[in-house]
Amino acid sequence: MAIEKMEFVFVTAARDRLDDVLEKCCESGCFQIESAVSANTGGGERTLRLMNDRNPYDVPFKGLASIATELEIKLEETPYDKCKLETGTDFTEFCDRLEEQLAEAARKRQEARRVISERRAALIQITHLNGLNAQFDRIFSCKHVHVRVGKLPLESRRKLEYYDQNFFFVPFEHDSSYCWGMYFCPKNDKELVDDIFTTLYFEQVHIPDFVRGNTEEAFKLLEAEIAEQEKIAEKADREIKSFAAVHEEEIQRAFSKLCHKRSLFELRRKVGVLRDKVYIKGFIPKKQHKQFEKLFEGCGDVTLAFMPPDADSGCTPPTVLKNTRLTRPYSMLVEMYGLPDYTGYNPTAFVALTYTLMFGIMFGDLGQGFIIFLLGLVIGKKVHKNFGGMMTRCGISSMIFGTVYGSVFGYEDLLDPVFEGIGIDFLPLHPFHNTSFILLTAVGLGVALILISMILNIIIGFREGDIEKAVFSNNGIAGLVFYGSIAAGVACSMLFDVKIMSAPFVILFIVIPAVCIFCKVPFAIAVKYKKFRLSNEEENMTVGNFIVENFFEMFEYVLSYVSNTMSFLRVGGFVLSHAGMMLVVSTLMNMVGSGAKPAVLIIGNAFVMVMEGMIVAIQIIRLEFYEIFSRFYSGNGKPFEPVKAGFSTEIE
Amino acid sequence: MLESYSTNAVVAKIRAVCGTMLTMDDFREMVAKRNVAEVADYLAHTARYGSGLRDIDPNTVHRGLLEQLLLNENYEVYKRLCGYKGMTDSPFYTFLLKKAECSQMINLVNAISCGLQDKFVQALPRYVLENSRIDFLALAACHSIGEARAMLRGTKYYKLFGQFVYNEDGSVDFTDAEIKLRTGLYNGLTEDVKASCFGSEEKELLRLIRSEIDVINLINSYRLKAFFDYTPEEIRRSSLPFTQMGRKSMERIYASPDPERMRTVIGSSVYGKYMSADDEDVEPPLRKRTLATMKHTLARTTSAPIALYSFMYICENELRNVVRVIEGVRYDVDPAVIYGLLIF
Repeated sequence: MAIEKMEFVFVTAARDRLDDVLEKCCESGCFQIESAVSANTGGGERTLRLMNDRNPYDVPFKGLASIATELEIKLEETPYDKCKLETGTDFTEFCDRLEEQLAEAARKRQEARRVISERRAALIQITHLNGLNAQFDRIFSCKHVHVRVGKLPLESRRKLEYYDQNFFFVPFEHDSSYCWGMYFCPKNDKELVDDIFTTLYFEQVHIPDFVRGNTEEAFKLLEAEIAEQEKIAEKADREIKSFAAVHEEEIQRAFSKLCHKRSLFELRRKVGVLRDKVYIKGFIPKKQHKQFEKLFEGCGDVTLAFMPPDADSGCTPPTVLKNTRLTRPYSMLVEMYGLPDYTGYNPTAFVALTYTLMFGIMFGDLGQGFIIFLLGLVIGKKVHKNFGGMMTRCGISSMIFGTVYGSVFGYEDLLDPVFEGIGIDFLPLHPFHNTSFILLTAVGLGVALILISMILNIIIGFREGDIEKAVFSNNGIAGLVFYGSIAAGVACSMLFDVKIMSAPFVILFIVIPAVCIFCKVPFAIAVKYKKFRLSNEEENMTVGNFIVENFFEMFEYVLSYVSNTMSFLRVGGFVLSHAGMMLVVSTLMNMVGSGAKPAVLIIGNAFVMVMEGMIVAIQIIRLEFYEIFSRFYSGNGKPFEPVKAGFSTEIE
Repeated sequence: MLESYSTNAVVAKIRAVCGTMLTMDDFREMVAKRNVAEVADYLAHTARYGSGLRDIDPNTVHRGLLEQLLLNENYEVYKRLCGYKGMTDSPFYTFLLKKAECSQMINLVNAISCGLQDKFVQALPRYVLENSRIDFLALAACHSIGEARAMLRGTKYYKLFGQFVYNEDGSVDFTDAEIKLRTGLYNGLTEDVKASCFGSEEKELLRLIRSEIDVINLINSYRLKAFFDYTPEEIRRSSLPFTQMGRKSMERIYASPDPERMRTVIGSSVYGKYMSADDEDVEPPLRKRTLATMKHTLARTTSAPIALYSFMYICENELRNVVRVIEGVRYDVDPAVIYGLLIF
């Protein structure tokens, strides 16, 4: 339950062996490549440069993807052993050959589509001229009359009344912004009238030359033309489809190989080159050392150098969580928050324990827990392994606490005879009869979890050598003593009537830790550097600023101690809410006839399981992330991503 | 009278519509557009102007038409808000139309004086044509102020046109005409407010209107001083006879010996909140101040007419910003410069 140990690998090879080396790295499935020239590279590598060659497979990749789209072929990963193409030029020639064979049919289809689109656009224009009975060609061929067809904004429609020039406007139809129509004027007044209409924002519509006859005739003519062109396009489509059927297998093979080659070539961007040698850096899990080494056996001029993970300061080692079978599904939640640093703490086991425990407490029901357990098994097998795994564990926890509460599918007294038979008289723990106990236990659980989180923070702080974090911070030793003392004082005086809040106790365990938290920065600087300074960042921080800043921080810490503790009340709240919801189901069952009772029971239970189960799951995630993780966990690790020459149809 | 106005529902509705207004991010996007077509397309896809621009073709729409459509959309929003709770019965309801009529009358006087009636007709907004009882198209056909006045018989403008002062060459004194028309407008608005509202609502509305007038007077007085070197007496004569700030304070500003001093005095007044020593013009900070007042008023008022009045000012300001963006993009002005001219 820690973090997988990694090794830094430095691969050196002759330049002509680069493709083989990269192929082997991909094949290993455990090599994470890093840029060979990092930002803080030392002087010895000054002449080492990254290979930034243009990827020769980019052009054929785009070409082949476009051909596949045209042929309506859905590209899928296919074995490509039979594909003889190797270089970028081979693939380009292959694309050219396909395009050449496809050209005639594609041209016919494109031309037909162009004509269809043009005719359809003309149809839309003519639609607005409904009501024009005269022939278009006759109107436009008038010798002494100037005509313009178009749309006039409704803004300007009334303004035409103002002009007393020699023109008239014939409206056909209008929408919410424009009036469609045409205006006529003598050819001699053309400039003047055009100018008026231009100032009124008249937009001319050009009726194409191919439109003949009046509106109705033009409609028929255009529709006939569209139908004819559609036939031509369909014929071309059929030709293209038969071409696709013949060549699909070949294209799929070629594309898969092309993808592999292209991805492999992309990896070169992280490879360093110096004269005739190439250098590749990366990480592998330490346990795969031998397997990795074995892959390169027989490659005489390839040298592998294995080093500790911190050998190169420019490369941050990736994090792989190492979990037991029991806790592995919960790594999903840790990854959701962010992976720990390579040298950090893996909190998966802690999450697994607290999540399962809290789920059981909040959703305790023997019957429903069993259903969740079964569902978890199915989901784990068929849908999502980790999610299913979490469900099975939470289901078992729910069953255990369901037994404690004596709740089976909402029947709160079904287990009473069992406990009586065994002779356990303090169980079952009916939530409604023990409300205060449940709520206080929830707060107690919260206090315990917060204290554990602080202890984890202290351990991590000491491991990192961060005195401020481990000793003086609100989650360090000072915070632990401060919070623990107040919690103990309150618990003793309220629950057990023991007065421990004496003056020495307060001074020693509350005031002194509070002063440490207040002055955590200067204290930490004093311990670490043996000098006095008020701030890490600001050299000239005044005492006044320091007091104001830390007063508000202190206020926030105290507030967060209280709010975070109270936040755990929801754990107890959901116990009561679950019992309450099942009480509603049972009341509803009593209200219906005996025939409908099973249906109400099933639907009620299903509803509670889905709704409450989801809410509880989300609430626990919230508690984990906000109240627990925020105290000790940063989650800024780097995920482990082994290189692979994958299949992708995406064109960047 | 205005009981139906004074409902939280109307105010809530106005605030809801306010939520659809263009944000600073929208303006940032628009100033970065390459041409007017792209700006038109962007506006056509906003909740604020989408319905008014749904039929336009962004690629062919003319800049002038686009501005007119936006203006109309503003009026449509106003009409919808007024119609929401039967606000149409109150005389105050027509304040936007009255303001628009007044502006068009000023344009008309100018157009008739310069013989530019065609331009006047071209720029005439559709909502004025459709909603005003004055026939502006018939007025545009007039060739003299006297002819226009005769046509305005029976309206309040008849009397105002009769008070115009004429120059020696027989042309109308345009500055004087503008002041008289604006004075008429604000007198009318004040009467409408007094007839429609009472108590604190009346006071607040009058405060808003007078503050708006103060800002107009301040902008004009600064321009007259800076560009025409007017004397305090001339500035006083060219100002509207209303004030919120007080006559003495206004007099002190008018009496400034030079533009720099005038800027300093305005800066130290209640309207000088956004003014700085680097400002070359007083208009942007003064408009910003008015906008802030209107926004503040809209945020806290529970009165429908006050909310409506302040909201329409905010809309007008937004429209001015949009027009600036359209013009800036049209003339290929640097996006940062256009953005700097906007008032938020």
